[in-house]
Amino acid sequence: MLELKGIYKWVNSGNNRLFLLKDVDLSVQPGEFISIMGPSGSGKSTLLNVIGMLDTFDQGEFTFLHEPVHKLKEKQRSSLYKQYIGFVFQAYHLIDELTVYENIETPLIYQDIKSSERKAMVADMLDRFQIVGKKDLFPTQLSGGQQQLVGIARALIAKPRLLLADEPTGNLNSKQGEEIMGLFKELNKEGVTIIQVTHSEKNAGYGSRIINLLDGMIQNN
Amino acid sequence: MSSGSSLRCRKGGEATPLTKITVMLRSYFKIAIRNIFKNRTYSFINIAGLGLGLATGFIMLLWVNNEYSMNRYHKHSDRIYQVNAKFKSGNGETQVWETTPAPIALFARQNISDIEQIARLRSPFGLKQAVKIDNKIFIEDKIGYTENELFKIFDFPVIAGNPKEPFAKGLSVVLPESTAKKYFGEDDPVGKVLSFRDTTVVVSAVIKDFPANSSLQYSLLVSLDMAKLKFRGNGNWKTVDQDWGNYDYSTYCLLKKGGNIQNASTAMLAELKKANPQAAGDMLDFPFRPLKDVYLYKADGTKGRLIMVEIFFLVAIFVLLIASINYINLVTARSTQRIKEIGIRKIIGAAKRQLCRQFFIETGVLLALATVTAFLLMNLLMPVYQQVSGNTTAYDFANWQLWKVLGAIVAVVWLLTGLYPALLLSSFRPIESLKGKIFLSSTGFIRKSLVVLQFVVSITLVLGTVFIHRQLSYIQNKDLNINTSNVIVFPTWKMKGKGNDFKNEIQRLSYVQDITVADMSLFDGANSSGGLDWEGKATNENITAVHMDVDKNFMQFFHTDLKEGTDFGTISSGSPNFILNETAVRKMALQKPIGETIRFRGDTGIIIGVVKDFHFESLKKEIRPTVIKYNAEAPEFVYARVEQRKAQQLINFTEKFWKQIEPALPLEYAFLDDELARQYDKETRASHLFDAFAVITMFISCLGLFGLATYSAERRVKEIGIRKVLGAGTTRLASLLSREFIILVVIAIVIAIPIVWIGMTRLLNYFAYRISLQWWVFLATSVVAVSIAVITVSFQTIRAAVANPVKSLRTE
Ligand SMILES: Nc1ncnc2c1ncn2[C@@H]1O[C@H](COP(=O)(O)OP(=O)(O)OP(=O)(O)O)[C@@H](O)[C@H]1O
Ligand SMILES: [Mg+2]
Repeated sequence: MLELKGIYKWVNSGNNRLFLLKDVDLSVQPGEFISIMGPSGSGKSTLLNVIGMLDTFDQGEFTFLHEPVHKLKEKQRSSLYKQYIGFVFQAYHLIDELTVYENIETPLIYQDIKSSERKAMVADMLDRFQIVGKKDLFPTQLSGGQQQLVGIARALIAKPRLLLADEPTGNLNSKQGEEIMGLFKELNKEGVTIIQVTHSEKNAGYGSRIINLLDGMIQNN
Repeated sequence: MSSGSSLRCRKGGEATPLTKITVMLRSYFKIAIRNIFKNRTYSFINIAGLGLGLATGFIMLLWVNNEYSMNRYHKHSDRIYQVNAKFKSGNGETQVWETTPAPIALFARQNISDIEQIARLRSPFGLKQAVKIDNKIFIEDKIGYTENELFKIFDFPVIAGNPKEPFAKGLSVVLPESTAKKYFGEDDPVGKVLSFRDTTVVVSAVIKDFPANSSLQYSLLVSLDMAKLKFRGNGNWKTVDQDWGNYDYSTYCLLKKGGNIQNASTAMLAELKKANPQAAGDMLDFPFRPLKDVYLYKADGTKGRLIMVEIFFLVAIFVLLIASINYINLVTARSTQRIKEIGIRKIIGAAKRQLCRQFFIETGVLLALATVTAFLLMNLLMPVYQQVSGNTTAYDFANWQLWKVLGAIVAVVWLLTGLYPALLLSSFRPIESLKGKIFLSSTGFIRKSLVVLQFVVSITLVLGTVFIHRQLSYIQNKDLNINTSNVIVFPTWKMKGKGNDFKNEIQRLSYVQDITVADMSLFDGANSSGGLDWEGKATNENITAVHMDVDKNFMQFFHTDLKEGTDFGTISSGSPNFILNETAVRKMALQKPIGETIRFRGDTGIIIGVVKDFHFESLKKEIRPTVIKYNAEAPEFVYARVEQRKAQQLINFTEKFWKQIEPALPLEYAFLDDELARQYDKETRASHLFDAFAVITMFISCLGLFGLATYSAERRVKEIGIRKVLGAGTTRLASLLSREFIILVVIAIVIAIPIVWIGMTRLLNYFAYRISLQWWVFLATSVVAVSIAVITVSFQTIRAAVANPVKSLRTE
């Protein structure tokens, strides 16, 4: 599905070069469910953002679905992730001005999908996450767990092949967290490749593989 | 849950481009409307500022557009010219008149092949005439005398009567629709009869009303035959068509396609030299002035009306700019609140282009509301504006031309307000936006510069207006060396030879304190002549002097000061003795003027006195050299000084006297003080308009400042809370918050002052007698401007400073 080879990312502060990622090699097969772990500041989010093409890297090769990402132009890159990647965030990052329905619908609008089709797809999603009753509420009117459900629904609406989740349960209580993890498991069974960042061993257990990160370097596979 | 297969199958059909766009629009509209409601203060400030700016811009630019398009609507407008006359006017200067002798047109019609059509039009404006229909009398002062050819040159569509020859044989008139309606109601006007004094004429045609963008505006067009009939001869020239001496006809011509102006003009000059050899020496040329210049430029080619049009255009643009800046500033100031939204949108797939579109549409929705506001304001402001400007052009909202202008204004404002925010907001990088790592330091600088620009414009206008007012009050209160109070002037030359009777009758009235007589009306134009000659005049010297023929007591009557010599005192009427004003003596460089012999206008006589310079014209002009002669015969104007409370009584008395002479026409008279004030009508009107501009720009700028202060206070709410907990006082906090804004206003003042200095110095040159630009006016105005700014931001800063710190900190 994707392959990172010798990825480096750094920032220059004064004369020092501070490495955020150091010689990262990672190969992900379709259908995998990977958990990235590591202490705070170890570069987990940075790595996830690089994989999600939201962030750049300074050295190395990144192949995504046989496309050399490091050689693509910004525009091609964004069309690639728009098509194949969905994001879930710890802080949900819903748009406060939009209702639940509209939040889920927005990615489809950006992909120029027909209105009737959009309606069907959003209805499907609402149904699937059992939030039909909440569709006209605004994010601030929802609990954290509900917001994260909306966040996941939004990430999945465009039918991505890869779901990236940065501490998706970080702001939730354990019961809500378990629900989300169950959902991920199910999605993974349906064929969605998932990479999540987590601090919880338990959550990591839902995945098929764990990657430990320390100071921007992968420790074991 | 739905089946998993639906997740894997890639996207369904894509939408067609049209539905795609409407879908997006709908979604953006929704967000825009929600944003407007969510941030009410912000939206209100934006809509109010933009609305006021647009309303002002609409009104001004519609007027400007009307002025620019003046006379251009005629089908052949690019081939229509006004024939002017260019002379030598002494001292090596030239003068251009907009009128020509009448026979020029006749000559051209027969002999100049470059000219397709040529027509004469005489407009003795200001001369009131009574039009009688049955027993009804209408007073008209916009009457033109012209001929059929006029309708072949201009597009004045004939809607009743013969379209080829609207004037019938014999004495006829052509009426614009509205006059026809006024005279005859719904009846068919063609063939109806009306009369002037002793002459009866037939209505031969009706034309459409002159449109607002025609500079020719008449209530009545009378056949030139009438003017011919009334012509009393001019020396040897017995008919209008032979009169080469009077330049009293406007001559318009339609050039043949490919015709040559120079040929035509040369031929005309040659003919004039033949027909009027006396005048030939001074006559230089018959310049052909393109129709489109007739309204905007003076005959000599300098900017006339165009100056006003350009100033208004500039001010309108500035007002729109200031209003647009408000929008831009508020959007960028608020953008911190939207960074997160933008980041998310990008991550879930929004392209930069799509975000740009979203912000453009948000701007558009707000602008649409502002436009509606502008229309409401326009309805409110229009009557005020028309009264202040004296510009009564009615705007025809059924005219698509008008909508083109309004549409263009809105489009430009949309682009102006939409572009920067759209580019700025859509450029944020998603990850940084989400992390809150974007510091809009660059927008801070741009925002500050724009605020400075706003205040430079508004303070410039405020300062300018203050100086204009001071100047106007200066010339209106300046000592004229002549006492004009409670003086009424009557044009007795219109009394058909009864002027002397009138004079004798009012002299007997107890409440008339004094009367005098002159051949001119003070402050209503004075006649001048060249050829003043005296002992010791250099041969190439040519002084043009004003001449006044006055009654013996003229000087006493007006309380002018005699500087040297004697008054007319015992001298008999008509005797060749002169009193000169100081300017004349100075210009002539006479060391001992009294007793010197001068020759002027055919008289040779001696100077018996010198009068201290007094003003008899607008103070825009320098006092001109003046030669005063005693001549009490045939009083053309009678001046009466009357007890203030008895003025109406005198007018009533005169009314009665006048009715016996001229029952149809209204009595004409004027208070000299009013005549004097009328000299500055245009300037006074303009100054009132500029008051309005200054207030509007200042108001919109302050509205923007208020908005920025609101955001600044919101943004710094936590900082304020902490400072307060640490013991900072309210005053200290409020001034801390206000400082950043006040500094901007001070910078604006520093920039505005030199601009005003240069601009006003040039503007004041237009007045011969003018104020100096006192530094304390700059200072006082600046203090006021800063105070206004302080008050504006204080609303917010004080509120923020007195807020309970526990509350603001808890929300974090
Ligand atoms: N633009 C940047 N400039 C400098 N340092 C950065 C930048 N971005 C990230 N870092 C640093 O890189 C390191 C890795 O950050 P990252 O957010 O990836 O950590 P993380 O593993 O996700 O931590 P957490 O578990 O707290 O989320 C941190 O020390 C962070 O301060
Ligand atoms: Mg992290």
